[in-house]
Amino acid sequence: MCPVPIEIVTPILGLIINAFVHTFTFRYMKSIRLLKSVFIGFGAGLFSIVLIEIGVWYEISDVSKIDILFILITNMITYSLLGYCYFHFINLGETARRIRILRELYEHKEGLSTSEILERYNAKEILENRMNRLVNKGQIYLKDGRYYIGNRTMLLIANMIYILKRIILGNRAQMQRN
Amino acid sequence: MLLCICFGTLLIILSGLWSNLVFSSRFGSFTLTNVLEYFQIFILTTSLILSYIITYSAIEADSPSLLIVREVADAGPNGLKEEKLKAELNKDFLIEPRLRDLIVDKMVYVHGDKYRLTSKGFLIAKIFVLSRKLLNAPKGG
Repeated sequence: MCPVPIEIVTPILGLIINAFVHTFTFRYMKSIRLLKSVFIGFGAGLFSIVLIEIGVWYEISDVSKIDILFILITNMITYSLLGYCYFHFINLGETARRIRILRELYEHKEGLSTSEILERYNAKEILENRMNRLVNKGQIYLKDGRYYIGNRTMLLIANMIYILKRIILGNRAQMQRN
Repeated sequence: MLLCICFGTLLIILSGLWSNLVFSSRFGSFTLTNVLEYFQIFILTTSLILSYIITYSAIEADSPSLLIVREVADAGPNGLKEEKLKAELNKDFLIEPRLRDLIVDKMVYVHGDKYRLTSKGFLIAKIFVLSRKLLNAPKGG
């Protein structure tokens, strides 16, 4: 396999296009929600990678189809991994408690005590944000003052994460409540 | 620690690639193609390691959303009362371990009774503040 220079940077170009399209759609198309805009951005980046590879195929006639195919597969895997990292980066900003605490401290250069942090960001707010998200997405539903499981996707993810935790962290995988 | 292990692995892979490249150049088989191929391997390996790091960090800390779903599922067909859920997921569990993580990771330090950002914490906070500003999104969390 002999990649041409443009093919080497294709996954990074795809990631830049992904970030640009995601930012644009989320910022300016109010009807599109965050997760959907992330998927649109990812799709746009993937499409651009395929387009670049088709362009190389047309421009450089002495490259074999098998080479092009393998480079395309490698680039798609690399781009998917970078897209996965980008998705987590966006998700961290949206949901991570650590990032929210960092943001609160960033806005108060003189520092904040535990009680001041809890005034600005507390368990009630954390729970409300998450309950609203879960109810809006149909993962759980409220009936007569009690919550029940709705769509089982989130439960499946929770169980998968728990198994991964047991495999990677071993005994430390007990639900860490302290 | 995890970052050290992962980037250590990446360094070993890179030094392996580099020594192979030097070996190829000594025996006359060094071409631009080698460099391009190695650079492609470098990008792929870096992406894999970054993905592992980010997955590990997601697995390490308990996600409140996933915990809520598990608590509701564990309650079975009778469902779970909201008050009971709130009592289970209290402030000690949701905030304080994360504050401790930030101190261990040297992003926050304690000054008197206040928590303050270190330069590393300031940089990370700034990256997220800018990205949220670009998206025109609220604080999150």
